[in-house]
Amino acid sequence: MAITNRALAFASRWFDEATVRRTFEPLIADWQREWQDASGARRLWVSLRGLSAFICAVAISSPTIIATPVPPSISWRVAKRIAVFCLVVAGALSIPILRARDPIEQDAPLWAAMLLMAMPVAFTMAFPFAMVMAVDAIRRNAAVPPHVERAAAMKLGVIAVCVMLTAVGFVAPLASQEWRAVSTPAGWNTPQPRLQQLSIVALLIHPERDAAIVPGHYTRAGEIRRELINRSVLSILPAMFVWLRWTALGRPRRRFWPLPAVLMTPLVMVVFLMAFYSGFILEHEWALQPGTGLFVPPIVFGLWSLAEQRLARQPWRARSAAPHEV
Amino acid sequence: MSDLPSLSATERLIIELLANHEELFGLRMVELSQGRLKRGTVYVTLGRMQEKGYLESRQEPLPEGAIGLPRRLYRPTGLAMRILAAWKAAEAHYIRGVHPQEA
Repeated sequence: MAITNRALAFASRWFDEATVRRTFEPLIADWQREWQDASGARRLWVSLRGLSAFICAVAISSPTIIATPVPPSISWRVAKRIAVFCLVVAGALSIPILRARDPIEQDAPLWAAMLLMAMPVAFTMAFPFAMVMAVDAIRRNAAVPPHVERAAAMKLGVIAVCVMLTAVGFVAPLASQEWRAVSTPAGWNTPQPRLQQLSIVALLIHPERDAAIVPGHYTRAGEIRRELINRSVLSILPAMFVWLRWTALGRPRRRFWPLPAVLMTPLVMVVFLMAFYSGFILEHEWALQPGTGLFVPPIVFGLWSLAEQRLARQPWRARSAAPHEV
Repeated sequence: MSDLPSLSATERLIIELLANHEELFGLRMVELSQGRLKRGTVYVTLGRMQEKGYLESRQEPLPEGAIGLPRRLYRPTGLAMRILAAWKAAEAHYIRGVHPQEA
């Protein structure tokens, strides 16, 4: 019964040995026996009932995945890679932002303050792309069981989404407005925030959103919707990159694929930019609802990950599968 | 009283079923419970009860011609039976205190 074999393989990949032995093996054994004893159309009913029981057991047992301890060496390596990547990329991205304003060149303390405020914006641009290298730190050069690797990747995804949500939802907009205030020449009025400088809470409920400047060509409601979709997409982007890299590393190693992280990261950046601008053009050319085009990047990366997953399951490739994929 | 290990309603039901039937596998317990045990949760509960030392289990030998995983049969440990007896005694004591006429 193929479905039970798949269910057992799934459980073995995600849960520790004790949970598989105590919870999933008895469930699947009873399911298989019930299916063998049934006949005709009843087998379909048994399959469906067994599958729903399996899904329920997975849902109830899933907190054990989060509770799975990850070796400190892996956590440390992941944190180090993310920090180095973000520092380098965010630093590089901050340079053009800072050079755009002339007066600061004559005022060192002001320059330092502005650098501090430009960094969160640059960080939000860099952070999602750090996931490719972070996943490599989990899945390569680490002799840990598959369920620990998966638990580490899942934790990374969840934490990264939380970090990104905080960054794009609150820190970056507020820092951006502060940056605008600090960089305003003396004697000038502080510019009023645009929608991009409002936090998620302000965008959703605060009266401030009614006073904010709306620069685009949509209505205020349309622009708010677009901004909220933009931040939601940016928040889930790190998890999508974790999934993409994870599936890419699941494929057997070939000469050119999976690409090393130093090549994969720029490739992901280029694909993201292309998908982002394609979505932007599509939205405007086809007069779609505000923010619809922003869904193009997650769709593109989702399809890419699914393709990687499919290729990893090809029988001719499975013969040379990596040891942790057995 | 605080030293008495906890026993949820589901755990108690499972121990009672096993006490009456000696050895059962998960799906049979679901059938015998008449809807009080669900097949999606019973295996998780059985696993936890094994961890707590309330249950023992063994694999049933596969019948002739059968394929797949062998079923797991459960039976209660002495600890589970003592806890069940203690909870029943505590329950009876409580009922006598609250509703003397029922006792």
